[in-house]
Amino acid sequence: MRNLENFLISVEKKAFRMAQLATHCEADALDIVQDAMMKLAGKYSHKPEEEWRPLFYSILESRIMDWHRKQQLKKKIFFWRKEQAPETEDTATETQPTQASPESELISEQLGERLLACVAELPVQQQQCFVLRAWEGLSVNETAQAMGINENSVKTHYARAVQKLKASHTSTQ
Amino acid sequence: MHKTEHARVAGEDSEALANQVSAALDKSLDQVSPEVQARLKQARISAMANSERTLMPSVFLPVSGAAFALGMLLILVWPSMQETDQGLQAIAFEEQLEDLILVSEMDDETLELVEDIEFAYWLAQEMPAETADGLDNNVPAYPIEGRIESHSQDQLGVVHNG
Repeated sequence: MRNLENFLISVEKKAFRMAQLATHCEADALDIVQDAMMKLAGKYSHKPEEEWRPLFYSILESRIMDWHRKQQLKKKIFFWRKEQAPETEDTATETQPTQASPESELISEQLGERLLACVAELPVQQQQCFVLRAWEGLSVNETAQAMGINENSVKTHYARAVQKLKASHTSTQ
Repeated sequence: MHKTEHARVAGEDSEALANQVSAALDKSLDQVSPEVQARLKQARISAMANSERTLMPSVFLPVSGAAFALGMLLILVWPSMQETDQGLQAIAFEEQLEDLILVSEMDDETLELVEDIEFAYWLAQEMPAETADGLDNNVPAYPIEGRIESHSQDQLGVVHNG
């Protein structure tokens, strides 16, 4: 049981960031992460430890996709409502006040924030595919299993995500 | 530039971009607010409690299994036990019926003889102690200490004062 808790500690912040990038909402991201944790602990805690990571990300991705489906359905039902601006309390606003840093560090920080903003603007499947592959380090096969799609789709989503990021990154520079 | 060279440069660019994004995301983990961290901790605690709750049934599974098996056994055996009782009652009834048929088939003389025999048997059972010495059946054949004392005191005319 201690191992499971350590595993959850190791992934909870990453999972929160991934969900936040996908939902643009802190509260929804927290709910998604909590759901994923509950399901992993409740149903798969007896599984071997090496299976926890792919299982956890699979549950997380499933929850994120469910959230998007619900949002799309809401948009269709309440089509006359104006689309709410996405919550802007992302990394930019959460940045803690820091002491005066060297210029290079400031530039890289700003660069990082711009990059994250670009990632947040990607379509959800491309975004999650990119994050799982590039940040979490999952293989094409593991990413495909986590997202419930085939390997070719993973490659396509990843390539498109990189292409868009490059384009938006160069335009903002 | 050659086609493969283009692909190589593009690949390197993509890798560099992926590394930059990864670094930015890693850095963003340090900037997660304390409130969010507290809520994540709470979520983790709830998940662990949920895990322990779901593990509990596996501990009690053998006990509940045994209880279920016992219950099933009772359900299956109880009707057959009832049937056994009913079977015994049926046998007793059949015996009584056979006796009745036997009695009804007897003629008067045989019936009187049977009655006499039954009376003699009853008499022998009722008065086993009424033997040739003619002692009262209610009086024990051997003396009891208290009885002797009270008899002897009465005979001596002892008067108890107070």
